[in-house]
Amino acid sequence: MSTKNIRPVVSAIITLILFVVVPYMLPEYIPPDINQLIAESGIDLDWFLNEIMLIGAVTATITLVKELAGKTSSVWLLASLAQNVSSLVFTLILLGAGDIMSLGVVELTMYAGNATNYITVNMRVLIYLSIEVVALSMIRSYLVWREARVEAAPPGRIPA
Amino acid sequence: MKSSKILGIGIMIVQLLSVVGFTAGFHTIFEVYNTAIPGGAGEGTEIEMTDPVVVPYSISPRNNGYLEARLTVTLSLVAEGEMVIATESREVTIPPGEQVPLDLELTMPLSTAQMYLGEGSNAEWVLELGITTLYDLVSFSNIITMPGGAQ
Repeated sequence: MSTKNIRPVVSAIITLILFVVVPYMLPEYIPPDINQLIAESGIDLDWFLNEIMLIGAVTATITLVKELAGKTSSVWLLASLAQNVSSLVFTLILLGAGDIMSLGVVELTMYAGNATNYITVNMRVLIYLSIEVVALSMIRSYLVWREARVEAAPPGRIPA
Repeated sequence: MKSSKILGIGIMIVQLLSVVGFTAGFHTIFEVYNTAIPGGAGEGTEIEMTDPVVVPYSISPRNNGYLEARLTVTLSLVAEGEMVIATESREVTIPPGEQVPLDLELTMPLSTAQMYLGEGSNAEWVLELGITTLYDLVSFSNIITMPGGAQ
């Protein structure tokens, strides 16, 4: 297998390890008291990790497809756009603690003795920034694809 | 230089600024919160049954972060889950590296205090701490409820 073929496989494997294998193994390493605290706070850890694993598997597949396709192909452009969207979904999952629809506003409830803590963390600005970054990245993907096609085209010929 | 490269650099700058802003914002919130809630609402406060009854709550939040923070503290005595018996709110802006004292006083008639702060009362102390920073773009709020009757 040449270096050119190994690179996409390695990229996909790294994505798979980080976003599928690690979240899958994580519950085993969380101490029971922390696990209980997370459950009491209203975060569904299993659901949260399942979402991370799902988006990780999708991202790994897209990474593999993108890296295997040539920069001039339409598949590369579609995979690149899909990769940007998946990174936005990942950010929404992460900043919403598993609840995509919360759009970066996390609400937790914690109990300490006879006191009850209602915690709200508002990170919506980061969601807006992520949307902006993803939109710019999508434009960039198109520009990279377009430039690659121009470079690959024979002299004097404009690519369709 | 290719336009995609220029855009790539722009994206990297936005991402870098986001990470720096996020880290600095949450560091500031964490530092202010840690000093705004030293021992819990009403803890260590001796309530004197004078007429009117004055319940003091004092804190000295310190901002060890890198950004200015706005802290809003509201202390209330609430009965039946929603009936506000007494409430007081203060807002302070804490520049980085500074400490700002904040004093609250809940005042209520002696008869009200006896009714709601006595044994078997279902009244609750509600302490609301709200911290905003990074030009009000990042915020954190914590509402703590504790039984208000004599323990």
